[in-house]
Amino acid sequence: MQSSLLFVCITFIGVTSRLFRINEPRYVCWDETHFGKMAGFYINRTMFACVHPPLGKLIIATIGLAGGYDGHFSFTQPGDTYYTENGTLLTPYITMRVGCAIFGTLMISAVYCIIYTLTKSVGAAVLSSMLLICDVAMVTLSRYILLDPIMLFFMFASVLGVVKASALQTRCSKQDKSFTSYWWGWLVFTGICLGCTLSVKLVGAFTVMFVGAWAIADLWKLLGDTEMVSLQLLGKHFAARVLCLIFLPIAIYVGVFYFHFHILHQSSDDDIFYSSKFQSTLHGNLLHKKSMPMHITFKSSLTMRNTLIEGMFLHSHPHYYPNMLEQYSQQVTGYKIRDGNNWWNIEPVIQQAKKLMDNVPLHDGDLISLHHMVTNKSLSVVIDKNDKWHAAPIFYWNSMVASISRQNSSGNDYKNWKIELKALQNRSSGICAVDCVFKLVNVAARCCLFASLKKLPGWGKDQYEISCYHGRRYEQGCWWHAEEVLPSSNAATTAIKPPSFLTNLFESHKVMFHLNSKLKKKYGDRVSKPWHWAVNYKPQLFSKKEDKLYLTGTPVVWWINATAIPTYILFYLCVAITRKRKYHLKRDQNLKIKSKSILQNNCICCNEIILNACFVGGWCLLGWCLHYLPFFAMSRVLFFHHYFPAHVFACMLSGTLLDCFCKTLTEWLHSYLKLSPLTIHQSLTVTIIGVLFHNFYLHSHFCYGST
Amino acid sequence: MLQKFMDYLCKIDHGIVGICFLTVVGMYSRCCDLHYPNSVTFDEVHYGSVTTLYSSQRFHIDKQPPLFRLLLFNLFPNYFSNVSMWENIGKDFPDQFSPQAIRLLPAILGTLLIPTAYGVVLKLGFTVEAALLAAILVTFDNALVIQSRFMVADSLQLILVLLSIFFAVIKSWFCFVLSSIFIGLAMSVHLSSLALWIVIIMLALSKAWEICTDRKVSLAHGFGKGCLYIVSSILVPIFVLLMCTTVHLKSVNLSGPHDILMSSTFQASLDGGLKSNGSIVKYGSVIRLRATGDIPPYGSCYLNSIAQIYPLTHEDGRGSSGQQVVGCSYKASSWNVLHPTNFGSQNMEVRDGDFILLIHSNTNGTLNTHDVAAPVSKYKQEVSCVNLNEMHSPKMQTWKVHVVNTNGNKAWKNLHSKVLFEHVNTGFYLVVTGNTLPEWGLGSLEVATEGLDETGDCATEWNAETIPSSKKTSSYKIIHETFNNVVEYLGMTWLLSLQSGPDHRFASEPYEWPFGQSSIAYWYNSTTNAQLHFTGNIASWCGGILISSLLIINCILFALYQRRNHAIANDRLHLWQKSVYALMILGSAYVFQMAYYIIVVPSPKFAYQYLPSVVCLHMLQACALEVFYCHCERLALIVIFIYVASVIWCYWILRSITFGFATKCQEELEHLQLWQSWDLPLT
Repeated sequence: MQSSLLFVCITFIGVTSRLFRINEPRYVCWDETHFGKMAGFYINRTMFACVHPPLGKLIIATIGLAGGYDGHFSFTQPGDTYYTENGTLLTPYITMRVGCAIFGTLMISAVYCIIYTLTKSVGAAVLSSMLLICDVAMVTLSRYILLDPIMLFFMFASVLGVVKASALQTRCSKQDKSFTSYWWGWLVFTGICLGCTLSVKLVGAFTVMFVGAWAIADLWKLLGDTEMVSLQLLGKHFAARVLCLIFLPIAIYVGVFYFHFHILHQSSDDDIFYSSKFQSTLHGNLLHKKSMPMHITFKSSLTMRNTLIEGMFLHSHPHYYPNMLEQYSQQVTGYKIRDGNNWWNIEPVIQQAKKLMDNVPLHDGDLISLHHMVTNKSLSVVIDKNDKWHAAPIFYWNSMVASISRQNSSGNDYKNWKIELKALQNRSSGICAVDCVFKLVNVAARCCLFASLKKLPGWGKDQYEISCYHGRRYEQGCWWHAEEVLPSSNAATTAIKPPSFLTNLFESHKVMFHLNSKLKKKYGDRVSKPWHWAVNYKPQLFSKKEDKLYLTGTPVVWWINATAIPTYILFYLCVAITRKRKYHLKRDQNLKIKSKSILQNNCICCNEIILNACFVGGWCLLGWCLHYLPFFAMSRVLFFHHYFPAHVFACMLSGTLLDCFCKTLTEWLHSYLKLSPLTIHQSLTVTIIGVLFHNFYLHSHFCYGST
Repeated sequence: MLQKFMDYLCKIDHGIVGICFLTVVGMYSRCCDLHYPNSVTFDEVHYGSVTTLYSSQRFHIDKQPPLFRLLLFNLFPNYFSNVSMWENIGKDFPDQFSPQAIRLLPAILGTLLIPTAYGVVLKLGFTVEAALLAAILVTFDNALVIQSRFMVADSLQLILVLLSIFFAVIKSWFCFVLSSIFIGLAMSVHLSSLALWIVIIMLALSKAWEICTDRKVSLAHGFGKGCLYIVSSILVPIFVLLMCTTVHLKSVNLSGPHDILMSSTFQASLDGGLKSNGSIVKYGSVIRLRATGDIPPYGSCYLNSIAQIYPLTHEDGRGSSGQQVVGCSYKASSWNVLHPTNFGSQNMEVRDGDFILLIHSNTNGTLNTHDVAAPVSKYKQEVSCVNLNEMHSPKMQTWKVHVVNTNGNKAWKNLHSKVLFEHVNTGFYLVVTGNTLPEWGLGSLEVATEGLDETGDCATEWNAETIPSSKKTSSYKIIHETFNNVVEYLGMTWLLSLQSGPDHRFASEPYEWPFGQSSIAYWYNSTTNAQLHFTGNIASWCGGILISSLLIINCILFALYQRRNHAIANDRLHLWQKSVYALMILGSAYVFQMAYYIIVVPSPKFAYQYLPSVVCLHMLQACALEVFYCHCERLALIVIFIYVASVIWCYWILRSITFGFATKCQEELEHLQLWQSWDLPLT
């Protein structure tokens, strides 16, 4: 009863603190520019490329849609005002912010329930959630159109689910509620929330690990209980967890992506990240519903694209390689944009005169030569007078590839390329456009046409290097496919086959990881380092400079957290060592007699409260480590807000420890003061909350702005 | 007589006989024909050319700490007197210098790996047979053989790492300190041993836990002893590493090629390096300005101006003008510090908060910034040099000096002070942006000005280096604590090891290593078509992964079984404890080593960096095989026999590219292409 009342209070205070002055500042703040923009893309149905999975943005888009956002406001850059000059609202940003803020508050309610379920102590639950409510940083992070509040909510909802589910299991068979509808409900809830966490941001993977560890510990406990739990029952427990904690999240994650592809079907500037097949499904793209000749023939004109991410076109332009004696070796490069210079003509090599007819399709193993359409030069490996190949500019162990004038008859063999289809494709029916992936092997030089992700220096106009690769190891740069093929007069045409859902899923993940790997830090950026976070070393500006809204913690909260973690470790060691020594701190003479030592009764370490705090704190510490330490190993650019999942675990740890401390202090004070333990305990807790509130009030201008 | 001899023979442990035999076999494979090939091979070119810098005592720094090179130079000083000998790969050794002698050191160390691996497995509590199995796997590993046959640091690192594990397993504090010393030495050879250091620290922690929870001793006593373990595992290796570096710095006390990477104070400590003619910058001083901290791509950055103006229009159409001010990695130009109004105020000290003008010595331009976008960073201001005599008044070019590390004294100290320059008119600060200028800038770095960020931080702090002026002869050498220099040296080594290099044909990614999918060509003779390739013994590498994962599964299943309170025979329990212990040490050594290369080390990475892991893997799989033998005796015996035979067979097949035998035709080599991904036949 008391706990429910407090739960309502906490939620109410949380909502108030988050919604206070939520319309300020009246312009796009920090990452709102990304997520607002992407919500707009969903409403406009425009395909885009982003490092995060779609669910968070989908939720923001839904909230926006409910508030009347039509996708026209573009959230171009931080600082853009939401109002026109005469004061009319351009976009319902307040609704979107309120939506996110509510997720942020619900996260605190979830934390309250978690700690209450684990410790059965109202004090610990209140303290943990108050630490979160009174944290300026948490308030700031919850008030804007960001993915973080949504992700944090799903994260701690899934922790709540798994904690609740195992709280329903007890050793006493009468009270054991395993496999009741309640139990299943919480387990399914956990699975759904886990799936959602992962579909908002991929850091949800750390939460999956945490929940997984919890489930394993649960099963381990059941495994040891030989009297109550038969192997069959254990198997049922195991199967239930596999179903709810592995398959259900995967299903949700995949489902979210299905929905994502279903909604988005307009072309945009981000198309270049996707493969040609994927692009052909987007309305407004050049390839959309384009009919192509069924096969590439010996007289086709075509463009060729590499299968790498952000695959480039085989390109040549009338500029020459620098420092080359043969002035007529024209650059061949990789270019990411559709361009007239990407077009090539296929011509048969003379020996195959019988195939000179127009409509004979190319087959695996055919010899062809490629002529650049605009300059009429042919693709060739560059050789010097001694018949040795010339090294490429960057991948110097590859040979250089150039377009060479057709009149230049020396080294004609080096102009012949053999088409080799990738394995597992139908070899009998000729080479098709887009679908067929092939390698171009230069027969004379014994190497294959290779695209690297390295940019040429200035003389190459910032385009990518194309060379000829002699080895076998890096074949991924060697695969090409024809993209556009000029239709010839009387050939059968066909549309591009749309890719399957699984192909799309796989490809969009490749793009996500590729984009993520491009987010590298470089010198001069004032990036924050992981060690900065735990000590609140540097604030992060959220607004325009003059408004001074920062992401920075309430000092008292962060000090408490920063001391709680080492304190807990010491505390745990003391408890563990004394327990292991069976409370004998001196040398134990008679090891064999299992007598209860006198110490044991007085020993502080065998107190029920302390043991429970030790257990709960251990899990919080594990959560903190799992959500914090991996960032030290990441090479991408990092921000302060990456710490917040770990911060919530730290607050849970401090709440538990503070309550344990209060209770121990109460017992001690009780022996001196003539007051009831309840009064002492409550006044201690209230004092701590008072200090937190005061400190929050002092620093609240960082989140609400100064009036 | 004969009878007595036979009795004597019977008394000898068959383990001793076996290991002696294996050591001899290993010795033969590692030490025979070391003179072949008689030319500089692969990384020898690197070790050789860097070590020659010792002979002239010139300062140098490398990606790895110096122990191996120090050892080489002190044992074979005459090999390193001439740089031209080590100029490039494939260059023949001169007649008077046989490579045999110098390659013998790594070869012997490589041979010692065999008995050490044997010892480690024995000390882990396994039987002689398992230990012999580990020794066999180490002996017949093509990768370990070829890497021991050249003048490279790997076999030294490997033997130190193994000795460290060997002593860590023995239950005595003295041996544990020995182990810490060895791991310190291993770290002074190669930084990747840091991964193993973590294992040693873990081991110390677990020992401390054991002692503290042991009721036979009092808590206070146990606690003290536990702390002793932990402290020695942390401090001793650091001490050893520092000592090795100190020896290195003592033996290279002259200014040398890599001075430029180090801070100004470090350079001043080298003979023939920086000299300062006064510890405080004064009005009228001529100084060089150097950005502190490590700035890619070269680590150092000096403020420079060239007598060319910025391009009138940038590529995106923005306009600019003014004489270029750029950052470059060499000591290019010097600047004159002047008082903004009173040019005559020579020899007055410049202090924190004073105003100055900076005049470029070569062109007489004054450093200035104005409200025009910088060439690359559009949101920063362009910095240029203007001529004072033109329409500009000196007020416009005044900079305010902020000394960051004042330490009570507000003077701008030469070499020591870190200084920010604030442009008085605009309030912007002088920074290096980290961007490289486009083609017209010839690879220099962009210099610009920008406001402080929200926390009052500035990206770049500057350091003054005074140039010796000819008028004053008195110069005194600033003596610094060796400690500071050693720490700076190690820090720079660490930073260098984190710098990625250019792509390499034979570079590979760590995920290709466990199954030996990557090969490296070391040497090639076009007349005989003899080739040397670094390849692993595929059988023992792949088999090791398989067998070790089986061991892990076995351990987990056993733990589950035990949790279920099934009665377990004592010897089985003991076996399980043994294998968990082995997994904890060897398995975590393997995992940490791999994690180090996956997470910390930038590309290019090479397959030979997998060797420390592979030695741990060999010992671990030997332990695993014993566990399987205990479970199913006959079957396991047959499997082990077949396995060992296939390992030796694989070694035999690959011998021609491990030892570089002449081959007749390409096809013969192409047969050796066990993995599609190997880049075997070179033409």
